[in-house]
Amino acid sequence: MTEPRVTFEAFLEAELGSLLRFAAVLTGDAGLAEDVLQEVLFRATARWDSIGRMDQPRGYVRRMIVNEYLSWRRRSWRSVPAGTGEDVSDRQAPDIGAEVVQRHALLAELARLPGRQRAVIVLRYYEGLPDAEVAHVLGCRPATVRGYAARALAALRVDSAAPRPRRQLRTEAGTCPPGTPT
Amino acid sequence: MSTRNPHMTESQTRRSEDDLRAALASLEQLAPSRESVLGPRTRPRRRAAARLRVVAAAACMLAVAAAVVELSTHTATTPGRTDTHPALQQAILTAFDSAAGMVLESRATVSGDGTVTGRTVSWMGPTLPRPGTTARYRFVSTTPGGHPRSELSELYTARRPDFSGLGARFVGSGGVTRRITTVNYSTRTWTSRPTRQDAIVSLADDPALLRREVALGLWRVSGHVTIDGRPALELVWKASPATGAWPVGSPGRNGALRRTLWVDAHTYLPIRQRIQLGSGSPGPFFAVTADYRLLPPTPANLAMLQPVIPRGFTRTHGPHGAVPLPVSPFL
Repeated sequence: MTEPRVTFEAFLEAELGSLLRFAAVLTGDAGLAEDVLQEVLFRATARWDSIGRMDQPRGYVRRMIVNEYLSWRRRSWRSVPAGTGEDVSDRQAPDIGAEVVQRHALLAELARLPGRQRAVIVLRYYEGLPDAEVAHVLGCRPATVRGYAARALAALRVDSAAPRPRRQLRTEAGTCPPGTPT
Repeated sequence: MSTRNPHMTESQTRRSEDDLRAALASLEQLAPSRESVLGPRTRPRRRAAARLRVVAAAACMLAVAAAVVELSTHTATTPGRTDTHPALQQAILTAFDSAAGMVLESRATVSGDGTVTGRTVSWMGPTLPRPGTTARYRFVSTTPGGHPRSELSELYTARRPDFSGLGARFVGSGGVTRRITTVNYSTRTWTSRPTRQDAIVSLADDPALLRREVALGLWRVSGHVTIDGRPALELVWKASPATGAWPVGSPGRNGALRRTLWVDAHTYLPIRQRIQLGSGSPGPFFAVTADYRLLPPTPANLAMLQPVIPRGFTRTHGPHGAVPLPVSPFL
């Protein structure tokens, strides 16, 4: 058996910061992000011999995070981070910038999206993944991703530009780690 | 699903993808700290799972790895240094605590003067019982060839590990009635009776003692090794008669007792402990090497804590009906 290309310690040193942020954006809740990340890191340590030999360990761990988050959502736990959109709108005042208020309202609406739709939005617009890679992370077809995205954007009243600009952040397209992380 | 703010116009409620990206990026401020993810928990989990605390130990390696390197360097270059780095100490304690509800399996080889004289296997569950809760300990000794000699099973109420004099062999009861079951294979007898005596566990099988000693800083890292292919940290016991940290009643009070502990370099859970008494030739006149496994408390593993009475054995009564054969000076 060959040694992992990267040790777990080195992986954490290099990637933990971005994984913390990704988990926070994905879940919209600091506590849930902490729980999800702990669960994922726990499992990752046990399987690091295989994960560490992958071309893109971060992509695999990110996929584990998404799956763990969706698993939490399926267990009917629901994240409500900042009240409802109506509540936020009611708090508008002249000395509060409209942009901030609208952003809070948007975040509240994001929190009410179904888990997979939210995951698509985060992977697409925060991680900057192309739909094909989002599909790989979620284990579905790109057409399904586009469907999730369309419904989410409609619910959020976001006008989608065409063609969609693609930010290539921390992504290494073209590599698909084997297996389904859980 | 979509909410409409009655105070806004339709054009005001439309958003761009950039608005969405900015909103998502603003959530980064919710990112938990490294310490909250890698360190001990300070708030209740939404989903109780004690095993998750293992990750605290496993992932503490960011801080601990550096500490170990530093410590190893110091121990190699600074003779007499005996401090345990706080980060490493905490990681080991956290690992122990993470396994508190598990079953500790200990398989030991006992030798004298370099010759194997017997083997033992024991189970303790829970590994770190809370004071006042019920715990079980089962200890089976066999010949070097694996034939059973005796068995001791104890059901007791754990007491607070005060370790006065570090007499950790006495782990429970504290005056509370407990039950002890013994099986003697040489006489084919067994007994099971209540007793008010303190429960006793082997020195090699006492995780509460190990944890207490780590907390007291009585172990220091002496190096990195590989055990059965697993990276491990080697720790040596630095207690001496002067510290008073001898197991009560052990021959160590008057002899050269040496103990070495190995913990997994990733999880910091105990892997093995070696206890040596004396330094005779060809080897210590007594030595026990215990290999540890931490088992989840499944029904099958919990069943290992139950006494096993072979068919055809005769039950005897009285306090000395079936006394296990001693296999070591520590039990």
